[in-house]
Amino acid sequence: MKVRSVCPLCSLCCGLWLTGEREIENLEYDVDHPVNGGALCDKGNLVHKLPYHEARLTTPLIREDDGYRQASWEEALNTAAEKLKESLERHGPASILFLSSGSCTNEENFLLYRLAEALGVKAAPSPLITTGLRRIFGLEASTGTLEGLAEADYVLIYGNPLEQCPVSARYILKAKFENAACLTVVDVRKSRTAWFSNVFLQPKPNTEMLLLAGMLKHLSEKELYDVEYVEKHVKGLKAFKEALAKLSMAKISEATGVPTSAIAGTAEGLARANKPYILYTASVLRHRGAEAVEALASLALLTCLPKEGGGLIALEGPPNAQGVKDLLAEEPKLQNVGFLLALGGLPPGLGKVGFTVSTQQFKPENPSEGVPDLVIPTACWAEKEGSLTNVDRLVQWLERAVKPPSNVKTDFEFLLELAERLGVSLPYKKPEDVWGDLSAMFPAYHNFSLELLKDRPERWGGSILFREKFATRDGFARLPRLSFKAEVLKPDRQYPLIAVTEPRLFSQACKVASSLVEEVLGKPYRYVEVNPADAGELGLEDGCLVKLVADSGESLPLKVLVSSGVPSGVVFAPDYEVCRVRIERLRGEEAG
Amino acid sequence: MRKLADLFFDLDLCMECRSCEVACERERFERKLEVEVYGGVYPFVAQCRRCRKSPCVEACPTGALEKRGALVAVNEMLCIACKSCMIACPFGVLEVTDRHVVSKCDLCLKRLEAGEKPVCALTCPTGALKFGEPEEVEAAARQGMKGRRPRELAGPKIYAWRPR
Repeated sequence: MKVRSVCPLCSLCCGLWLTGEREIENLEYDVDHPVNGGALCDKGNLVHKLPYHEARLTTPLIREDDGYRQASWEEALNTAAEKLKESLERHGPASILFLSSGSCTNEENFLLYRLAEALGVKAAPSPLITTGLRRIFGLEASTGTLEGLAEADYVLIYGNPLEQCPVSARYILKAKFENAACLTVVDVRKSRTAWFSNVFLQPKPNTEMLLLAGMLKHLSEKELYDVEYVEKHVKGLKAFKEALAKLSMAKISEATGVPTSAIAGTAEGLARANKPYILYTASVLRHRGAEAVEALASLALLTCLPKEGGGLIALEGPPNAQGVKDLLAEEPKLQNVGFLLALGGLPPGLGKVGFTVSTQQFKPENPSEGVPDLVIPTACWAEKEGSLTNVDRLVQWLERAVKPPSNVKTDFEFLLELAERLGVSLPYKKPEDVWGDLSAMFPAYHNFSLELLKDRPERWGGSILFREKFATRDGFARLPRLSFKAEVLKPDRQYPLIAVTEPRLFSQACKVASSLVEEVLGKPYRYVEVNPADAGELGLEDGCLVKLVADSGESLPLKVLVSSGVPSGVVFAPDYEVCRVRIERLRGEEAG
Repeated sequence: MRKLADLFFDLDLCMECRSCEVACERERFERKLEVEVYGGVYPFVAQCRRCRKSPCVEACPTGALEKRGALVAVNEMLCIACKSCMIACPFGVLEVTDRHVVSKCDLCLKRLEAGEKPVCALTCPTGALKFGEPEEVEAAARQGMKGRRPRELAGPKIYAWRPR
């Protein structure tokens, strides 16, 4: 057996081959793949072990007071249907929410939307996916491509793509080394991406938004953007300029700690470059969310988009994040939900929900991370087929390599059976049947036939998505109204440090793959990075175990990594939150 | 199998993701190369350097180590785990494993014979590890010279805040 497959860990969707006799035993590099050309990251090298990992969930689970108990499929499906009907009768369709997932194929998400439509309930993308571009461009997608990024001569990076999606280094370093592009990185921590940067802007924690405001202010005041282009294609410039005029450059410089000359220099660099690119990663979600996305999009609108060869790339986490955004770009409202069905695991930060159902590939482990009331075991990526759309807007057909374990269904089969129990008939039997309706309904997929797609990956929207005409109703892009407020965290005696973070584990599969890498290399995937000066003061050394106590009172045991990458007074923990913290060393028994 | 093809390491491009180590472990079940960072600046992939005069081969009393073209391969059937080669190796890349045989990188000999590249060169996301003929690799490296400064000078211009 040698089956072409796609890595399920991040939105680059690297290609690979799965090999083995009956089971998947090993993987082989797909050197002809348009995204990765064979390259895989550390986690990607171990994906073939995911389907057989001991943490795999193989039976439905129902939550009771003292944990989970195993249930039959019959019981699980009936419970889900009953609870849904109950919520529908008692509180109406507004109380029900379906969440699609970046770990699922387009076909599965489409089926979820069709089911929601038939029931008259709301469906939305998972809140783990960054949105905001739609309000500016009318469409939620990267405007450029990774190949375009490799040809750029100025790259502004917001976040840490080299550690979140390591294979993106192929393109970023090609721009730097072969085209002598100026690489400017904005991050609180001197990350791996920052090692390679020509200019590194290190603002104070939580002030990245202000830094962007400073750049926008400099651009608009000096009129460094393409005035003709903006007049022809952009609306809302006047209000946008007025909002920026209220800010003071000196205050921005003081608040961020970055000198005015550096902020202005970056803005000028972007404006003067012939092929400027802006790339941001899922890190923006952790800071100012949609507002930061809008600010970055405005920056791209004024500097990158007017030029041929310029663009904006939104490097998301989950593999099919772009597909989710293509199908539905509505933001989820998580208040007053009576029944929630989430594909691919519950997102964090949910409020109080009546009843939650989630499909998962792996066992729910940590009760603090959102506990579904009903867990449905689901097939992993190698056990199902469907299409995935990556960050490049490249649509790939995922082939099925092996059958799922005996008691496990794909999300597709689960949704069909749930629909049957709810009295909804959906005219599909297998993922392939969906493609016709899916491509007819969504303009992005109009041109692809299934045969073509199975043969080779196809890109929708071409290499540059918009320059002349935007996807809004009147064809104009809109500059947003932004508040540019930075909530500066002030450490005190009780919580003397500020924690910053970035998301690295985009799904359960990512977490399991990271734990496999930890077994091989011994490098922890959950850790806290502390500046040597702070470490000395607190008596910490590399590898010792500490408790990170957040100002919300929650505490988390983590391993320490002493590194001068973080400034003193700041600690960095991946997949954490931005807050004030204190560090307590665990000793002896506690540490064990 | 190309006679002159060899593995090259470009330290300017290495981002210490250690994908090569994971790939090696996956393919060979033993890690035969390791990314080491010297002085906090220079990463280096510690692995067989394929010396022209191979002291390890000369030191081996049983002929378990043999030269095949440029590379040195281990015949595990003959290895008695005497560690003579470990003492002889100037770079300390040989190791006796739990299986009581010496383990060393042979550039994935089986793959080379099938006309494929070693896994570490294939998986490297940045292209820091390259496999090819010296002229080929040099030409590719020259293309990437435009944006390049030596590693110690290559550090970014940092605009940062200084606390307290």
